[in-house]
Amino acid sequence: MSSSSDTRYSLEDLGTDPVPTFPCVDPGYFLEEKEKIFKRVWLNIGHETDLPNPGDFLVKSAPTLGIEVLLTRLEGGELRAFYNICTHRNNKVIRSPKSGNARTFSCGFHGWVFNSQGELIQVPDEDEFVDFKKCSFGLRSLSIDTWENFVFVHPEEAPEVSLQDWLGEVLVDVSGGPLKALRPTAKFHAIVEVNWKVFSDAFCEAYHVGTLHKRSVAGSFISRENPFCHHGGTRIYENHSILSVLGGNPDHQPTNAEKLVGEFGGGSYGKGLSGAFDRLPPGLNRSRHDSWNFDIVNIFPNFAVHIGADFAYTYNFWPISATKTVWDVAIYQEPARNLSEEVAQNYMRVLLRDTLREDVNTTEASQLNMNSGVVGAMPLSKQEIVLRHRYKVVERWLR
Amino acid sequence: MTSRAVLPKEFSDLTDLVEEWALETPQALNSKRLNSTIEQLDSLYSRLDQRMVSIMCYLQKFSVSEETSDADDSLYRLARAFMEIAPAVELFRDPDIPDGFPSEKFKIVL
Repeated sequence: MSSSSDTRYSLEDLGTDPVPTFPCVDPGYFLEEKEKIFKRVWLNIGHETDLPNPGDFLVKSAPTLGIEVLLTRLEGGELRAFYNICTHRNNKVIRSPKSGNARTFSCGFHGWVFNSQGELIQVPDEDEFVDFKKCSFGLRSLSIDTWENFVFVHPEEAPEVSLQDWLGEVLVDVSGGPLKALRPTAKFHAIVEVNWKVFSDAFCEAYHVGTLHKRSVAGSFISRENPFCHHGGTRIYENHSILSVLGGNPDHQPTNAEKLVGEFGGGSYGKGLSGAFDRLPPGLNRSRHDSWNFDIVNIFPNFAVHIGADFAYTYNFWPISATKTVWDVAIYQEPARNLSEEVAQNYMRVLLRDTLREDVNTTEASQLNMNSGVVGAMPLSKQEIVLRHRYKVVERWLR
Repeated sequence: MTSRAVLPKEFSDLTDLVEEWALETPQALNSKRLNSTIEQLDSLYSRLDQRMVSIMCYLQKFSVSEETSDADDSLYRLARAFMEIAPAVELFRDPDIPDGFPSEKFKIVL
């Protein structure tokens, strides 16, 4: 079966040699990634539904940066992002609860009070501070913007590149799809002993589906026509990438749970989709494959959103050392119209969760072996072009 | 729990499952699955499987946001239990994920 490729980078640009693994084990390489990439790009930190109402606030961790971000929603609906650091003696302004609805935030150390716009509005015993102006000591802010309900922050107050420009063609290709109609229905979290790139690699190709997922989803994904789960097309951007994953084995005998999902509206995950592409933007299932399942949209460096016709799920990979990564997963589905649809949707959450545990177990094993340095490089197939691309992009940023 | 150990009368034959399996959260359901044997899951599966279409038709009457009676709520939770154990019974033939990342390190947050 043929698979189309629409790439800004051809295989020639990306090379065909085995990819060295030292960038996945070297502590010095990681420190450079942190300084030269993570501190200089837009990073996904949450979703609009995390703080839907005026006055809502939320403290989210950005582990790679070693900081917590305080997100607030103002009366007019706009979002703001601040470092959760009191400008007095650097205590955390908010400890717990990490979310809620409040107009002001009081630091638990000396009682300095900030409002949801980050302004310092009250300092106990203020007269004892000499030459002191409250207006100079507001919370330090980060830039914030949203795309398809995903909330991004940039560590710099005035980044050179807007979120729109950073997403670039991805924004053109993927916006207007199903994402805005979906709401979070499940979330998972793990701290995994693995380099962030090795971790993310596990979710950037479908070559592994027939082997690693032989017990779980291989039966529904892999067909006689496409025995190695070849992708349905890739699009490689300057920093980001998209890979179409095909599914929908016509010979698959659905399990009883899958029959219920089909009958009672549990969504299209794993089933493939024939037709009904009208509402998809051009960049999703770009080749308009009949057996399309979802697209893997990798937003450099550490955010991935897998988008199907009526579902999505996201991964945030937050490296905290060369060989340790904090991982957050969220599943998004359409609002269930009734309780049986809610039950049917539950199957995808359970199946994906179980399948992820198959995926993650390989990553820690690979990492241990990479640490030994015995093999030293990975030969990657054309099906793994997205992995090859990211190693190149990282290298470019570190130059 | 006892006050909730009722089901709509057409499903009263499943009442004995309520206390153990009509659990409230995905964490509790997953933990119950992982701490069961495959024989226990097979037995639960065969009891629920033959009733799932009727259960789902019954639950179709309710919107997600409306208040439901304890009996209807228990039925809904039992249906979710079916979805929780279905991969274990139908696919893995094991309550846990063979060669899977350890469940104690994989946190279900929502």
